[in-house]
Amino acid sequence: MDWGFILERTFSTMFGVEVVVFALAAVGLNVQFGYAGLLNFGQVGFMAAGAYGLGVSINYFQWNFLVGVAFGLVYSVVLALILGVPTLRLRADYLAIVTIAASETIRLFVRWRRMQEITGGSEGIGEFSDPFYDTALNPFNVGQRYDFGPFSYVGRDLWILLVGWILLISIVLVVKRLMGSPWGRALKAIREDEDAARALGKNAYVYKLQALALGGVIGGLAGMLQVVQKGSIQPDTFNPVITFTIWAILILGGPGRTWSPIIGSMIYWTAVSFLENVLRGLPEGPADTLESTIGLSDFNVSQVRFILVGLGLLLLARYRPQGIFGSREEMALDDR
Amino acid sequence: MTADDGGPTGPDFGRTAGGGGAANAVHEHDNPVAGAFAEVAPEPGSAKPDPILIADGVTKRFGGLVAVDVDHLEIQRGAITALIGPNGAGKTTFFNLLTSFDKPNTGRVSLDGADISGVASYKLAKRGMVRTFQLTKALSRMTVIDNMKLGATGQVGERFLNALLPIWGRQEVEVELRADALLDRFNLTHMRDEFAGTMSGGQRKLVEMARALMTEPKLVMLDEPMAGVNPALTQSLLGHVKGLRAEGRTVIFVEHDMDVVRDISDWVVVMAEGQIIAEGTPDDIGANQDVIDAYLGSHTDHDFFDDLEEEVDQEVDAAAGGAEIPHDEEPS
Repeated sequence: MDWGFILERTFSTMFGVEVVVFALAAVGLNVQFGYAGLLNFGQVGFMAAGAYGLGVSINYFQWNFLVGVAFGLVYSVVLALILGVPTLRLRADYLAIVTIAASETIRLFVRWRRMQEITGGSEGIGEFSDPFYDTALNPFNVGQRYDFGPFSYVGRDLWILLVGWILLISIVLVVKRLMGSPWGRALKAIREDEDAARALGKNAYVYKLQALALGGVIGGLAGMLQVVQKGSIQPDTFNPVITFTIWAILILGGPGRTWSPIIGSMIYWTAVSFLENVLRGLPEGPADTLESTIGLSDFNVSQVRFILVGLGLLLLARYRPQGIFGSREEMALDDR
Repeated sequence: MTADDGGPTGPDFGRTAGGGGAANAVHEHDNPVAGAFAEVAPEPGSAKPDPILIADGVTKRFGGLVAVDVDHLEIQRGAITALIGPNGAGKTTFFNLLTSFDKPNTGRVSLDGADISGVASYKLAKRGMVRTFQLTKALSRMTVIDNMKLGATGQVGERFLNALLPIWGRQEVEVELRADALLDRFNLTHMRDEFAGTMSGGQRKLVEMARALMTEPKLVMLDEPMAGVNPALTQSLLGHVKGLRAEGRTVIFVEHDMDVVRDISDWVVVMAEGQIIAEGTPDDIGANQDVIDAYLGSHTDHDFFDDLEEEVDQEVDAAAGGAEIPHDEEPS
């Protein structure tokens, strides 16, 4: 087995765009669930709102890239209002139902044949990300290869990684500041007990709406980052599995903690990448054994790695339910 | 000093109100409203000399059941008013209606002369009305000090956009000072940085009351403040409730323990089957046949309301010549 290669691939995943995208989406979910206690099971819907807001603005309306970003954010807020206004006065589970349905509705809507002209239908949108890479702000040469010891990146990837990590860290710091403020305190109080917060003069409804919108906007940014990196928007990539991966990452890191989405995302994707590379790099003997016993082959490695990650998550839920950063004592207090 | 001193003060009792001071021990004899009820008729719906809260024709139906049907109720400013009644009498529902946590089918509620019917519950804290809950709502996964700081109203940093700006730091310091003073008064300073969820039931009751005081209320509504509290702490809680009165605040509380009611309340309102069946001083109520009937009718074969039962027993004893009421035992 080529351990050098496996480790190199694994480490480059650890700081890769996928980690940033999912960490960002999980930061949004952390605002909603970790701090405000909102059950958003449609975070991928917010990512889609951001991505299509950007793509349609540029590709169909021929607007400027930054205007597209702004529209992506506006769509995320609008989606939060549509989902939140009718449900946030009701019990928490109503939001959960509505969000999961809405995220699927969005995916089916944008891939609808009637929408082909605007959203590209099932083929999606292809050309919109060039302004991001061609900007004069980009210090790297898009096509050039840059070497850092054993790691090697093209300029295009370096630029999006740079922007992604700066964006991610700044947003985590903004969220940290917000949650340390009286606003964040009121939000946590609403998570703990809405009636108590209302009796003390806090308008729980508005706080929840703000948290849903803020988390949605952060999810929208994650969606934009993802499609800008890919250079295309595919409607079917915005499926519910993404939402549940984001949940797994948040729970893995520990909800309600500042840095947990980033660490959760790193651990998750590192594990996935490590397993894939190990499974693919197995020497003949073990590989044959696995193929004859569990039917492992090059074709189903990507499924098997997720099965193994799922097993890992099960063990986590059993032995460390509070996540990496959570405190078990605090979790035991959860007697709402 | 704290803003408590500028707190709500009824015109009638201005001379003594606030005399207790935030941290001073409060004694029975500094009751600022002693004598206020001398002229008040002990009957349902009677007018008070200086009412802070007036409920008029408040009804609430759940399907066919009339849970609350209160014709008229006035709550005297600066006094401690107890709301008692057997289980299912509608006390908590009435509390919820008064504080907008539930919507009445009909009726009006006014606070300090201003109509507050239909005003959202979260707006009442700013108007000087605060409540606690029967099932204590300590915010478990927040520290005690955060629980307290939450109570302060009018915090600039509670607005989303302000939260990011460096404009709430000074107010935060003031709020924290006030919170610490209250924690000290309620002997909770040692729990300051612990999660509220780690506290005992009694301590949670104390935190909930202290947190309510952070809103600087004129009217404090306590739903069963003594429920599940051990006897030692009950005394301390009673002292704190009297302390509220000494500061000039009005207190309404729901209670089952008749000893507590007799000990601290200036006026007692009795509910049964959604209606107010009696009002009066604790002594009036102890002698009121309607009240005894209401309790007896609902609990002959339970041992709830132990303390009221003793009182009822005496009445029955007097009537039946010493016969015991069968409680849990089979009558022989």
